[in-house]
Amino acid sequence: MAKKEVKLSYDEFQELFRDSETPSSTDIWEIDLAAALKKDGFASTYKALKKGTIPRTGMMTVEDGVVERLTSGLYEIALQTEDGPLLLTDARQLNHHSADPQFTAPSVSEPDDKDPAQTVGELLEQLSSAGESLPCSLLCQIELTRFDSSQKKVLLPLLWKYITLHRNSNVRDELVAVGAAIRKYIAIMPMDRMGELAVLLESGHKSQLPIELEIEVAKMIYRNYEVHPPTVENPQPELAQQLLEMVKAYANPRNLLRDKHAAVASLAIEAIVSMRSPLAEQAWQAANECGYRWFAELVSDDIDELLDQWNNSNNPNATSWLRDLRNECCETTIA
Amino acid sequence: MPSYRVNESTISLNIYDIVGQDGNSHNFIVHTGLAESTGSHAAEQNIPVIDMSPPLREGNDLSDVSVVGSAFLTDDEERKIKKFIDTHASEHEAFQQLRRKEFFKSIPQMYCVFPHAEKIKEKDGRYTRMRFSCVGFVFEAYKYAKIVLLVDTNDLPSLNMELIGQAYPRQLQMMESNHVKKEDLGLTGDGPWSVMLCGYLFHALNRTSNDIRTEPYTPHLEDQSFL
Repeated sequence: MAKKEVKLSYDEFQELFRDSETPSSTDIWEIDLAAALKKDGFASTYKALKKGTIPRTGMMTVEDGVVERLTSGLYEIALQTEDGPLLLTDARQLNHHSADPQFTAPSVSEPDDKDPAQTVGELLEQLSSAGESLPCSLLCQIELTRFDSSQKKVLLPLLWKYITLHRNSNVRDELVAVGAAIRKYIAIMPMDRMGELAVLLESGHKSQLPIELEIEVAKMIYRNYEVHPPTVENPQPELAQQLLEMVKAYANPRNLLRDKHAAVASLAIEAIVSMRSPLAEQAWQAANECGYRWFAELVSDDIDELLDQWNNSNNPNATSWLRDLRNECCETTIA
Repeated sequence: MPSYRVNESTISLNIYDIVGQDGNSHNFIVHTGLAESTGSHAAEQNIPVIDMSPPLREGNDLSDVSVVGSAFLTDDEERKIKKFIDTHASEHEAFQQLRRKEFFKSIPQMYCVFPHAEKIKEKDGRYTRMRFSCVGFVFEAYKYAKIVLLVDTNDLPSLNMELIGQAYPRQLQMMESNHVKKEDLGLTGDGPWSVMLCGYLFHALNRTSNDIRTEPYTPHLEDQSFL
């Protein structure tokens, strides 16, 4: 049979085996159960289920391999897996798409005929009915979706519940999902309830929020006030206090060069400044006095950017306050 | 010279050097990213980069790197670029959890052709993330370190759809296959558009260290390629 060897890039190779329609672990369990029922009948399957001996679908990590495209359109695939070599013959390609459009363009797919409003409703329904075992991808979809004001009222407590339940997770995917939930929650929450976020930053919690999530919280606080400058000074004193604790911990010269510490420290300073907090000067001085000029410059540049944004807003009091603060703090910037 | 075509068997990179990948037309650069670490690599090896694929990915192995540009970043500049990456990377990590169909539907939320970078806003202007083109992400990372490689977007050469299709071949295919509309990627109206191209960055870096930092480069239409 005539064969044509296909040289795939690493990414294409990975993508060929990454069919995003791959069922979730819950789906796979149901498939295994259905297969056992069909093969062995109800009584045997029930016994096996009680003993925990239902044959399970296994996953293997592919370490290397080669794919041959046959003239028939099918594939022969030789893989080196963690469990040893594996040869697949007459394999059919199910996924013509690469998840990475930089490498492979997708073919035409069926149009999406779902009503967007229905989709939003379905998302909320899934979120509210899923309990604690929520698929992480759902949180990502939620983050990407726009909700109207009545839907936001339903969404906010559900997101908060997810955040507080999973903030200490050791599973990377769950933390990514919590990050998405935090961004969405803060982006749609009422501005006058921003103080509630202090709970997330409390250092006395049984497990401190992972630094990646602290970045998300501080960044989103800053972004909210960047767009909506506070009309009064010090709108959320407790939140500002928690942020200042973060500044003291992360802008410490002994810690600042550690991974992500500069990001979280600078964002916490900028969040305090954006809140028009009386702690703003103290926070900004921490940047000036940390001993790293690049860090002081970075904070100063970001606050210049904030001033530009506020100049375009309809809040001259906030702009004037920030300009005064800038004048005071820039005088002490490390030369 | 600070920018060069990869002709040798080994590529030496400093962290956050800019690497580029040729498209189907020789010397026409269609993808770019930042080197993730300092070191030497065999030219035929994949090189770990941070790039806007989409989504924005850290530790992505980029094959067939054909051009490299370096601004010989100072330690301070590297630190600032690192902060920029740390701020934005997590916003795109969640996209990797989406299923295929959801992923393609979400491309306009993570990627744009014009402008090169844009906030994705809620109705009231608040935003959870930025979307970038591959060149836009690199440009903005350097800009955050006060290295403005190119002149203002409005002063970039105007391009028609044919040229944009050459520079963004995968995106063009996605448009042709109705996965995204050109408007979803920011190409509203009939054009032409002042789209930022990867090749411009390598011409911008192909100058003295001082010029790179003091004078944004004004690209010409032919700078889409780097010879």
